[in-house]
Amino acid sequence: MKIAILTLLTPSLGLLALSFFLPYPRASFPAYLPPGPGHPLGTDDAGYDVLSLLAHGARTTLGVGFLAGSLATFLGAGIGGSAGLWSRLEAPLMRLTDLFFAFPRLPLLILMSLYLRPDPLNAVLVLALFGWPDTARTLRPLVAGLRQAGYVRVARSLGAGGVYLLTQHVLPQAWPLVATQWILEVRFALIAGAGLAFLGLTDPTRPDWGVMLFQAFNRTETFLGPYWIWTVLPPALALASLVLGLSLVVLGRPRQLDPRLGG
Amino acid sequence: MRRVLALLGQNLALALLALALNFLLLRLAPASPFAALERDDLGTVFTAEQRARLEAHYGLDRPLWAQFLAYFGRLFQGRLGESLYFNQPVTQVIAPYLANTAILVGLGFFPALLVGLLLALLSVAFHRTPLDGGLFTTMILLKSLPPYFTAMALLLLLAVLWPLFPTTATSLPGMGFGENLRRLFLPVLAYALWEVGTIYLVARGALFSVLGSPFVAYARAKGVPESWVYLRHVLRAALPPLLARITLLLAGSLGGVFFVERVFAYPGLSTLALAAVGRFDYPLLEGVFLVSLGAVLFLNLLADLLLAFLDPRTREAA
Repeated sequence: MKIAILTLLTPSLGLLALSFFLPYPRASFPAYLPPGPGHPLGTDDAGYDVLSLLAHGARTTLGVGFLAGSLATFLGAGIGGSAGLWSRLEAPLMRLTDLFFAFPRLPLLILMSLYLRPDPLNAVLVLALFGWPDTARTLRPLVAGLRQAGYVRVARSLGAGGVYLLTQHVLPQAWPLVATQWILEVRFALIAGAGLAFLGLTDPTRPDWGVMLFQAFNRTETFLGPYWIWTVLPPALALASLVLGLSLVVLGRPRQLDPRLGG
Repeated sequence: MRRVLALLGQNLALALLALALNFLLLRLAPASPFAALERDDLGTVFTAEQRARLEAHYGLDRPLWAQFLAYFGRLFQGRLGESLYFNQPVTQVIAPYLANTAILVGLGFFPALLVGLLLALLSVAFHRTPLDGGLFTTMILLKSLPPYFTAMALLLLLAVLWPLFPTTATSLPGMGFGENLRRLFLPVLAYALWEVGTIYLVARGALFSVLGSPFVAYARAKGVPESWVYLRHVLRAALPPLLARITLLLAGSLGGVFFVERVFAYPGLSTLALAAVGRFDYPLLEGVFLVSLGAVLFLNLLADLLLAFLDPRTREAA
């Protein structure tokens, strides 16, 4: 299991490291050079070196996923934790969470893309906005259960306030779950972020794995020749191995199992 | 009955809120609807008087609340405005694309439901054997892959490397029934694969939670054959909440359909929406959003009603 995880996560981390050695991609080569010396992964339809696109794309893709996932976990843990800790906040906060679940996310994202400038910061904010409800829903029952625990009630009867309880008693217990949620949120942000780029809703000039797929699928000749081998496969496989790696990490971690989800 | 009314009320409130959001989003847009006309570089002179006339024509000079009421009035008449690009009512533009998406979902979802349920039953029946473990891991990994990746993998394997099916699912005039089936096959399969993992996992969990119930142990103890235990006792108890949950999942999986459509250039709602983004066709986009919102709210309501009617336990609790 550990070996599988390591194998799956290596390409992404390696590409990230490689981006510090490779020059920023420029359209300075002939189009559709097959992989060979000088261009280990060939060049794409506009004459960009695919390997350096992939390496610099790792920065955007991983950066957006990591930041958005972290922000979503933070928001979700804060909102779910508050709803669990203070019973007066529970109804309004959880209705808000339900509301976010009920909305069709992708059509709304497409609608929002008309209003937001397509830059990575906006992508992070939007992805976090759609990611947090999952963590909030997972954390609330745990925290609500802890509130009833004997030692928490004792601490409360001794005059402990909400913040003290949260930092001293609740967070240490909830921590493993928050960590698992963090991986899940990062995974969601990676998939959704690359998905938005693949739909053409992000900045097409910035190297990004999703954008690479968007460009390849926009060209009719991609699947007419062997070009897909080096324009579609590298970003798709890089993304898939990263996502699968993160999934395997989650499989081996403690998590609040929704018994009805079985996973 | 009171429960049903409460559910209807909840969903209605949600719908109103969403409609209000839809209204506000458009009014908050940074660019004026006349931005294109105000640009001088086209050589057009757009006077303040012309602008006032246009604003009066579209009712934009009225206070926000009056515009809001007018917007609701139009919605209740089923008018979603006119598409700026097609110059046709939005409802007319959307209809064929909506039908295409519905075909994709309909053809993919029911086989996925059947296969997912069967595999979950197998998993539960062969619990603690390699079969269950293998199925479980496969499905978790299948579910964790982005929907566009599964679709791309199918495209590369079955349309490019081994060209059994066409790479694009675009319908051409004069295509026969067989050809239409052929072009639909890959998108439907990709969508079904994206759904089957989730259905399997939910069903497996639901079946397991019922399997531990005392009445199952009792049925076994009185000598009911094992297959009958599963079909009559476990499935009967697990199915109503399961169906409700799966209906909810169907509402949430709209995003997956959108990606599948994009990979196969399938003429569905997402293709229309993405084209509308490029053309700044606000009314059309709003229409697509409203239609998908309506579908999701309908499915949410359906899930609640399914649970209320099929599950005697919730009926007593109400």
